[in-house]
Amino acid sequence: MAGTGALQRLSVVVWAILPFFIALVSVMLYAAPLRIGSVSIPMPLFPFMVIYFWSMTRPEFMPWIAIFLTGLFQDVLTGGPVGLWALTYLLSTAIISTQTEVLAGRGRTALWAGFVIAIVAASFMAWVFARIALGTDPSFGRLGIEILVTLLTFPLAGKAFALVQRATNHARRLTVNSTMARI
Amino acid sequence: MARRQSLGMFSGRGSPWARGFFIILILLSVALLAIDRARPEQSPFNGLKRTVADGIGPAMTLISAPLRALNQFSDGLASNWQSARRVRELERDNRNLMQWRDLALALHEKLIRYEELLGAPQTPTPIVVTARVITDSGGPFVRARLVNVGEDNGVAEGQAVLTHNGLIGRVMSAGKRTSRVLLLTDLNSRIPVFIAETGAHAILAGDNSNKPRLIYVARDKLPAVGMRVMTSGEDGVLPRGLAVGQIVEGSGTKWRVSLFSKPDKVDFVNILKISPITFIESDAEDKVEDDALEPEGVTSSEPVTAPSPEPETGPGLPDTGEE
Repeated sequence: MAGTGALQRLSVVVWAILPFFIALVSVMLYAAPLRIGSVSIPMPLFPFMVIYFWSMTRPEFMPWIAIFLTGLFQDVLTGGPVGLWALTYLLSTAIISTQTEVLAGRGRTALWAGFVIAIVAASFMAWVFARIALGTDPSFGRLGIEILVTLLTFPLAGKAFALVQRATNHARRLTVNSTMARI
Repeated sequence: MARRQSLGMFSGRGSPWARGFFIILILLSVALLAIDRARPEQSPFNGLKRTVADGIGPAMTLISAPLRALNQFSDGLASNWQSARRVRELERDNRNLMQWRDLALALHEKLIRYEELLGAPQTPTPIVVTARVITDSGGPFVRARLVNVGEDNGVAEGQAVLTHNGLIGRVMSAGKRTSRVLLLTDLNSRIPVFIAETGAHAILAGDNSNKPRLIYVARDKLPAVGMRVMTSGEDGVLPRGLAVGQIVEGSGTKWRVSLFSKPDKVDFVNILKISPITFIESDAEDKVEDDALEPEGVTSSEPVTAPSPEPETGPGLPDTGEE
């Protein structure tokens, strides 16, 4: 019986860290090379999608430390200035968090509209930090394409995240119900 | 209670603990950024980057497999779409190249004879390691690629990285099983080059655009559009004579170089395993003089390079580079 309890607690922990795990995988996906014909397509900023989605829907599953580590992992994996994306994600999420109540319960369109503002703000922040860190003006071109690709991908990615979240909620309910039954 | 609060700063956002923790993380990020950028080449995080790249390398290969399949599929489509025109172009190129091949062979033979007459030391054939690209540049501010060969395959920092069209970058850092390649287009890339037609030396400086800038060009030997740019080898790291690109006009008075090797299209690269040139120290000058008396000796101005047995390839890869 004690074994079952430990397993259930473990299950709760696993479901709780799942968004963070998805964020880490999304960093790897972001770094993967994508090309169509002879044109290299910038990958959507998947890590920011994950951070934004959970920050708006279930912020308790996307704590500051998870956001910081996701950004740090992105910096280290891509070989960029260490701390740049960590700082960008933390600050942009802090701004998003102030709008959670405004956008909450207004449906997918509001979520997407919020994301448009969030991604533009985050990209601009990253550009400013990169300008300071690198000491020169980074090109706007690729950043612009990346923003566009990210915006176009977000509705689909959002649906996938919503499915994961529904499964997570279901599993958590089952775990809680089973624990309550035992009590 | 205190324990619950301290846990809250990791899991929640609203509590004072969490807000304090948020400020700490912001300050930590700024500190990391400052430390990393203070001396980018000797950043204390380079070791961490190498370790993470080594650890994540197999997973990245796995993740990029479906994308590679998509790349190949799109290549196939594009190739079939214009196949008739491509065949005609290739036939014409082939006829031209046959003439160039005959000329190259004749010149090569003549060069060997001259070198024998002069007693010049033979230039060693570099060992080539073929590697697969496993990550893209990873964002708008970095132009670097991770490849799936490292120190275990003899790759070292500074080695030249090419495709069959020409130079694409150099090895920025080498882990055990992976290496990071800094592309010529990256903001931090600076390589010494010369213009083949005029012999003028210059520096090729990346600025994150697809066409790097040509800076510090000699004023009496101004370049012209269409001239070829090659590595000069003056940095003592890259070998001389690697094809880089062609000069194109930039905005204003800036000259830019259209690279022969387009970084966007690269799936495989060749890494030249040539050791960086090591100059003999002044305290060893006496020894240099002694060595210079020997016919095969190496003088202080000549490169010390590794011997050259046979080409090698990376793990499970084809023998030649491919785009």
